[in-house]
Formats: sequence, structure tokens, C-alpha cells
Amino acid sequence: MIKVQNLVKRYGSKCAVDNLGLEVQPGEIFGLLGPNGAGKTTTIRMLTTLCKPDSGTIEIAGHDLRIKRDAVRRLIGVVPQERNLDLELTVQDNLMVYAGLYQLDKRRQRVDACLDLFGLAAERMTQADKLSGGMQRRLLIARALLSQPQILFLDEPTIGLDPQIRRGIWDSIATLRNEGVTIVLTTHYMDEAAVLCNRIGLLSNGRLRMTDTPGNLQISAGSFMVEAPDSNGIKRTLCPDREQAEMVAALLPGALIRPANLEDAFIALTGQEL
Amino acid sequence: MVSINPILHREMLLLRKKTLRLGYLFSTLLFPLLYLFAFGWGLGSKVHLNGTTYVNFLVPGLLAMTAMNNSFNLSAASVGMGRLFSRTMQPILISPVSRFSIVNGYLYAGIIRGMIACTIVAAAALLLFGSSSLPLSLPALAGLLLTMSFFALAGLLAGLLIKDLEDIAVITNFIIMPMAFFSGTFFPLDNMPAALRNSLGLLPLSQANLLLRSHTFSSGTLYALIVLSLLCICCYLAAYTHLHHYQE
Ligand SMILES: Nc1ncnc2c1ncn2[C@@H]1O[C@H](COP(=O)(O)OP(=O)(O)O)[C@@H](O)[C@H]1O
Ligand SMILES: [Mg+2]
Repeated sequence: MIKVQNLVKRYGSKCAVDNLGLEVQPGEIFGLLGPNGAGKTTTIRMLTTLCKPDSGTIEIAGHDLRIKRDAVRRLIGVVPQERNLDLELTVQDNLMVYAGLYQLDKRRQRVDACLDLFGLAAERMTQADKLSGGMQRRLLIARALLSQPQILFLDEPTIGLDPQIRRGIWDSIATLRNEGVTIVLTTHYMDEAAVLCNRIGLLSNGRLRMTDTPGNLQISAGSFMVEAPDSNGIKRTLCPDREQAEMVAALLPGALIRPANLEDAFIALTGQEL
Repeated sequence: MVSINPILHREMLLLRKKTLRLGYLFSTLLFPLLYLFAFGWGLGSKVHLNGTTYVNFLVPGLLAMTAMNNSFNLSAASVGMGRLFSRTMQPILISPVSRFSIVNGYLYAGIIRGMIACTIVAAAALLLFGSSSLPLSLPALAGLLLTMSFFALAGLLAGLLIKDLEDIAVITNFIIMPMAFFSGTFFPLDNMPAALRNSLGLLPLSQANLLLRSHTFSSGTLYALIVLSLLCICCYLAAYTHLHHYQE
């Protein structure tokens, strides 16, 4: 569905995206996991036609992005990192304007259906700046889905939201996958990536370090984590199995063993904190 | 079904919200109305210029200035702020809407806002000084429309090109406002040195003022119409090209 090769984007001397290559299969949720400044937003901007790469190729649903930008624009929906709603307009008008931009048929019905789906029907006449952060985020997702895109891009979809609201948004995203929408999302929350994504690419300093399923990424780094207090804080050791973890723990006073998570894997594989 | 240009639709919804705020109305109409009261009443019928009263000279100039400010501000602020501050321009740029529709939308929206503001200023002039102060000739109306078109397109181009929000204020303070003073809005350029007068006469607002003060077509008005039309075409193409190649 998406094929990216040797993608490079520089800002001055800084290489925001460095020779990135990836493939996303139809119907999967692909996650780009990385800390702030890793190059997630820059990658999404290039994939969504907002910004041209310095070099490399992007193919979306068979279209070369250098040539068929408008064809790609019709196929994709984008939920940006920033909440760029028309804050002075009502919820309904935000969507109606968007329906116009995508030249949708039966605009009123599409907008009503979207409002219902995202639990925004009661707020249709509310001005967007009066909505809570979670509702604004839902409106952004509703807006991106109005044109029924085949591919949805979400840049940090739950950043800054309460745990309960995050779960609600995860449910919406999972539902979309079940409807066959291909999804690319970025996040710096490892739990989000682990829960939602079929495959994850670990991004740090503009480079894709490794791409695999959440399970395999964890296993490749080690299944158990031994944590023991030492003079510099906590000393962490990843171990491939329980037996070895117990051997390591026996040598360290006060050591605890716990199952390793994706964050441990990220740190082990990239040498960088999330 | 014929559907309204989506950019225009959005701008009209935003404009409706804004005009309900008193401060906004004030800030866009305060200056032309202030000039109208102060100069119109102060100098109005006593001073004579070019064989007519000063009011009859001033009102067309104020209308050209109002058209310029309002049409330029609408698209420059909407596009500049939308790109750099609220980032509401980005969803438009990555939507499949044609780049011609985007240019047309801001052109229409700029013209409409110019027309609304000019109607209010003209109504005030009509009430205060009677219909003889209003430029109602065909070249004047054509000039007004071209002025709005040119500045709406120039505003779009400025909004697309600026790198920083401060740049809007810089353009307004160093280009737009001075142009109002040196294009024959408040006083004729006749007393200036010939070289300066001739170069100032080339400014788009000078052409607009010339048209707004003519009663019939002549070679001078024709020249001004052609200059303004060419400026519109250049701005249109520049804005379109820039949108087509837009990237962050
Ligand atoms: N418009 C820009 N100008 C200059 N540098 C930028 C720009 N956008 C991003 N960068 C730089 O590129 C790097 C990657 O940024 P970004 O893609 O936003 O990361 P992320 O979304 O993963 O936090 C950062 O170091 C950032 O400072
Ligand atoms: Mg980001």
C-alpha cells in the first residue's frame, strides 16, 4: 500500500529523516515509534504531500508521489499533530467546509454520519474552541475520515490526553482497521504502539533502526528485565530467558525481575530513551 | 448541483463570525471613516482641487484605499496566519481541491470583503456629502473591482511567501500604508518633482485613484485599466505557481 525508499529530508545541516525505507501492507496498522525530534512528523509530512523529500521515492497505492500528488490526496486522510481546526467555526461547519474541499456527494448525510460515529452529534452547533481537548481530537479524526480514505495517517493521535480518552481513541483506531483502512500512526508512547500496531518501526535520529511486530521486537532485545539499585540509580539488564535473569539477579542485591516491554527494547536497540 | 467554492465558503463563514465582533468592524472601518469625517468636514467644501471640492476628490481616494486594505488583509491574514500560526491552511493544501479553486476562492473572498467595506464607506459619504461625492462612473467601478482583485491576489501571494507572522505587519506598515499616502489618495501628486511623480504614478493604487476619479473612458483610463489587469494576471499566475509547488 505504501512503499518508501531511501527517503531523505534535511533542514540546514540537520538530517531530520535519514535514508528511510519502509513498506506498509494493505489493512495493517503501522507504527512509527520514536522520541521527540526523531523525525516522525517530518516523515508523515512527506507521505501526505505537504513537504517534498530531498531525495528518495514514495509510492502510495501504486502512485508515485512525485507525479500523482492529487490522486494520492484523494485516497488519504490526515490527523495532524497540531489541532488545526477552524476554532471560530462550529463543529458542523468545520466538517462541511472539509466536505467541500473533497467535493463529496451528499455532504449533509456524510457529515451527520461522521458526527454520530464520533459521538459529536450533540455538539454539532458548538464552536470548536469550546470543545474539550479529547473532543477536539475526535473532531480531527472525524474530519480526516469524512472522505472515507483508504489510508489514514495519524501523527501522535493521543498526545496530551487522559488515559480514559486515549483508550476511546484506540478503540476508534482499532475499529477502522477492522473496516480495512490502512493506518500509519506515529507515537512516542510504547504502550500505544504495542496495543494498536501490527508492525512497528523504531525511529531515532531520523533513522529507522528496526521494523518488526511488537512481539518480535521485544523478543529480539530480551524477554526479561533485571533492575537493581546501584550507585548511579538503577542498573538495568535485559535477559533472553527467565533462567539467565535469575542468575543475574542473584549477583545483584535488591534486584527485581519483570517481563521486558517495548520501551526496554527501544532503549536496547537504539541506545536512546523514549 | 452547483456548489460554492469551498475556500470562499470557509472565508464567508469566518467573516460572518468576525463581523459580529465589534472590534473587528471598528479596526477595518475606523480609518477610512475617520478620514472621511476629519478631512471631509474639515476641508470639505472650502478647499477646491482640480476644479471640484475637496470632498469630491477625497471620497474616491478613500474608497480605493478601503478596497486595497480590506481585500489585501483578508487573504494575507487568512493565508499567513493559517500557514504559520493556526496551521489551518495545511489541511487545505493537502486536500485534493484544485489550486485554481484556492486562488479563485481567496480572490472572491477578498473582493467580497472589499465590497462590504466600500459599501459602508460609500454609505457614510452619501449621508454626509450627498451623491455627487460618489464615483459612480463605469471606469470608476471597473477600477474599484480591479483594485480589489489585485490586492486580494497580492495578499494571497504575500500570505504564501512570508516566513514569519511579523512580516504581515511589515508589509502593511511599509508598503500598504505608505502607498495610501503617495498614490494621490489624500492629495494630488501634481506638486511633487516630476521624476518622483511619474514613478509614484506607476503604483497600483495610483492607477486605481486615476480610474476612480474619471467620469468617462479616455486613453488615460484605458492605460490604467490595462496596467491593473496585467498586475492581476501576474499575481494570479504567481500565486497559482507558488501553490502548485508549495512545500514546507
Ligand atoms: N521546519 C523545520 N525547520 C527546521 N528543522 C526542523 C523543521 N521541522 C523539523 N525540524 C527538525 O527535524 C527533526 C525532526 O523533527 P520532527 O519530524 O518534528 O520530529 P518528531 O515528530 O519525531 O518529534 C527535529 O530535530 C526538528 O528540530
Ligand atoms: Mg512530531
